[in-house]
Amino acid sequence: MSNSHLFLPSGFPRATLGNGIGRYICQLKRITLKFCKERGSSMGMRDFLEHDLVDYASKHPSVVVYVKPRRNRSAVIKAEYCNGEEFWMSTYKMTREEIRKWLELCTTQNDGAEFRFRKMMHTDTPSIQGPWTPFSHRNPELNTASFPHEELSKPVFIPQSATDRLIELFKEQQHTLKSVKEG
Amino acid sequence: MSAIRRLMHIVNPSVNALLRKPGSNLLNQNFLSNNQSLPSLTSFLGLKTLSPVSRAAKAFPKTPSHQSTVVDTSVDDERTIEEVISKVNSQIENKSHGRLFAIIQLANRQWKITPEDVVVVEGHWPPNVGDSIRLEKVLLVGSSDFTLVGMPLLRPDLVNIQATVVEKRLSHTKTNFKKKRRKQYQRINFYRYQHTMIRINSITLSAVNEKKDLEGVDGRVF
Repeated sequence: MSNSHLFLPSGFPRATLGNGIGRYICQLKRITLKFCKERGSSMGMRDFLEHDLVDYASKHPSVVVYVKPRRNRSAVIKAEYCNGEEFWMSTYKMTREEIRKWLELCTTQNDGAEFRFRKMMHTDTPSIQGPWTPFSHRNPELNTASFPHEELSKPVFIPQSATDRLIELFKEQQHTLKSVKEG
Repeated sequence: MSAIRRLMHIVNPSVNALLRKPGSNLLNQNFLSNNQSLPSLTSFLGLKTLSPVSRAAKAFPKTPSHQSTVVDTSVDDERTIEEVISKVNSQIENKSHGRLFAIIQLANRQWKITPEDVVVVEGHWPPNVGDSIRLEKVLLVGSSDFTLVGMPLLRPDLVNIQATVVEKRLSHTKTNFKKKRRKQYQRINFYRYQHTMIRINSITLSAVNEKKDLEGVDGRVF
């Protein structure tokens, strides 16, 4: 991340107004397409209005579509959402396909704000079987142990000492001797 | 569970007792009884000889000195498994298991989810907003009392996870900047990932009927 991200709002993913718990509600309420009737920079927008706008409007009955001709101004999309946010973008010299794609984005997003997710999921119930503690799945006799405790105060791992190694060797000898005697 | 608890009680004290005892006992006995026959050992131990003594000597078994007898508990275990499964089934039938959670694999990542969670899938992912989807790659389902672990996956007729696609958007603009010092080289790129937000609607279970070593893989493409 660079310095430009320092003031970028960040947080955890939230679906607006509990969207999707019951049913999905399209968050886009109103969309305004501004264009010029003469300028070449609005040609893509004019194509879009001519060929795709009716399809788009019939596909999204919950969205109000406004079309505004603006003389000698570049083409613009402005979207307004349920939560009162507005999303504005220039479609200067964009083709019909590009405009269709951006309009799709406007329709599927909850608001146009730039937002950095700190985590890629959100839950209201972080743990169901209880969070892990150092005492989970341990022998319950620990609960009644009184400290200082001789067994529990020992180190977990004691390396084999030279004496232990000698004893082991001696026992090996004894065993071998026994087996030799037995035949 | 009761059987496991019983086992724990049996295992723990016995291991401790055995660990403490053998050193002293063995030492005393062995030193005293076999002290007189020690010199004969040096003739072959540690030296590679072909004497008949070394050939007759058997290899020392590398088993721990504190050997313990393993009791065959297979019958008891079977009974415990039956009991546990019947208890889980009764909870599933009565819907008394409460809130469930699941571990699913989605978009090459594993997620721990529970109903009403929000998960954001990064990158291109075809489902569109408003689509109701079923998440089929379930590795584990758990409630407060029991956990069903897939081998490697849970059967699709056992667990049903429903989700709704809530939002498709682009991430914030990320900057990819690289520079090499004193080499007149610097590049800057801006990119935005596609984000798809899904809402987990429900996790439902049906009764556990059989226990297999491998299941949940048939009819699936990995």
